[in-house]
Amino acid sequence: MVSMIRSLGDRSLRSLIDLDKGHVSREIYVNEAIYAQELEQVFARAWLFIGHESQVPKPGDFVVSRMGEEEVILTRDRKNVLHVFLNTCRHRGMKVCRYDDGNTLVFTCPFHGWSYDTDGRLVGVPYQDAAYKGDLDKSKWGLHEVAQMCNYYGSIWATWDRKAPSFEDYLGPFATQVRRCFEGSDGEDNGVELFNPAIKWRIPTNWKFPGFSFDGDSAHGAMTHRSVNVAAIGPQGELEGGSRSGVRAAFPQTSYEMSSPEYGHGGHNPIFELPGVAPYADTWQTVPGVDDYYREMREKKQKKYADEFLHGGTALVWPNVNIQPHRILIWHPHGVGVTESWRQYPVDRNAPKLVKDAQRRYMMRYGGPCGMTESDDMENWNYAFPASLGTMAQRLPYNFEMGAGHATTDERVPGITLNYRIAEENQRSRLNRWLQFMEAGSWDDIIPVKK
Amino acid sequence: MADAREPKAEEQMSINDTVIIRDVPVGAKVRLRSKAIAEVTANPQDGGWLFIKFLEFPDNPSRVGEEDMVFCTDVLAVV
Repeated sequence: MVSMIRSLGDRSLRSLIDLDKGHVSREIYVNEAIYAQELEQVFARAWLFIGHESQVPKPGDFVVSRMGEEEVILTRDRKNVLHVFLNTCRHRGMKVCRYDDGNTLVFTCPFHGWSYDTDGRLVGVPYQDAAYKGDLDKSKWGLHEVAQMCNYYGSIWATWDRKAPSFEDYLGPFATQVRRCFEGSDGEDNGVELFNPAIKWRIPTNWKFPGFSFDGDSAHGAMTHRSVNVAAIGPQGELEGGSRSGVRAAFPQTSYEMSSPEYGHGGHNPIFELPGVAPYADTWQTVPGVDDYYREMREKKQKKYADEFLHGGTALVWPNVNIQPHRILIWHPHGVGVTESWRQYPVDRNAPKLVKDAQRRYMMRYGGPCGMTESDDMENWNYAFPASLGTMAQRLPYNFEMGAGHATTDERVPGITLNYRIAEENQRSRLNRWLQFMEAGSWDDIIPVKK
Repeated sequence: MADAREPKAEEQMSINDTVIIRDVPVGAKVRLRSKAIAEVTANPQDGGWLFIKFLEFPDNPSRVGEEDMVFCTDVLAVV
């Protein structure tokens, strides 16, 4: 338990962030004590993305994930119930699971042999009779389970805080957008599976650089991604002028930065001016057959949403995950200056192998440590951190002024703040939520809370 | 798979006397320190534990048919 910082010398945390002006001290990105407080105040309290039920389809299946700096195990027990446990033996702390994923009868600690059922119960203790002489109450020493877990249309989320609101209440006005990110291309709920394993790598930067700017920093695209746009890595290759993204059909819509300062979530999303979904535009010319599949799925989706005005498409869920229909980006804190990036890629569960392979290859050349787009991003995040460490550098605030004071609302998206599609509204929203979490004594102090 | 060595008393055993159980197959029978004979019902292959069902238990006949887990140091031999 760290002692909570409300002030640094004669400066309060609030003095480091002036959201009206859009000025933010670099210190919140580089200060070790502030980072330690984040682990306690943010990551031990917020709902965090764990994985997807498709990663553990059979009883005994498990996959190791993370919450903050700590490893957790997502497992399906023999009664088909999902659990999330801290990956540490209750005896002496050793990891009870040292594989990324697999299937097991029990989690046996390799140190002294304490053994846990997949439902977390301590079921095996060596020398229980001879040495403990029956004194050890095994029922009190099971694996430590999260306080709350939610299976949200196939995606698995968890929090260590039993006072946290329900996951859907936590999402607030972004619940529908998150739900739709886990739809299949035909519009059916819970229609995807994740490619296994996740791509994981560490980058030398603070988690907030990518975590707060991703899907909240459209201004960087034209400069940072100049080269990858020219390289035409999109599924259409060099057709249609090339791009890193696919071809989209014209459809009346307006794109915005969407955010919720009260919840900290955000996204870059269009509001469609007509009901239904956009017509399908061929974009997979480099892999014949894929367009046929997605065109058919679009027709099914159109039937579902023919009368509905849609909005959305992506969601950055506070604090550290960005959900998109074909990729999930997670930034785990791993030290004040180290972030462990995880990429997981959803694909239609019922898609033919041709489509799954095409989608996987496109995502690999787009994102991850070797993907051309994220290589661009890493250059910025990795160099901005050390360039903010210096004594002189820390005297200079970051500038988040873009669009400040120009936010609007729209009755079609209640509870959501809109700004021009290139702004820093989303990042200011995240910083606002960060301050709420860092100052709050418990969930009772964090608005909005539904009792 | 059968271990023909004479079982030692527990206090005389060294770590080298522990039967290697990692690959004992389901259906095999094991003799336990408790003098019970048990059938292996599952093997997590962690080298530490076997899931078993008691077939014979001279000192506690009521446990015959009961399922349990046994640690490697309680396994005297695969029979």
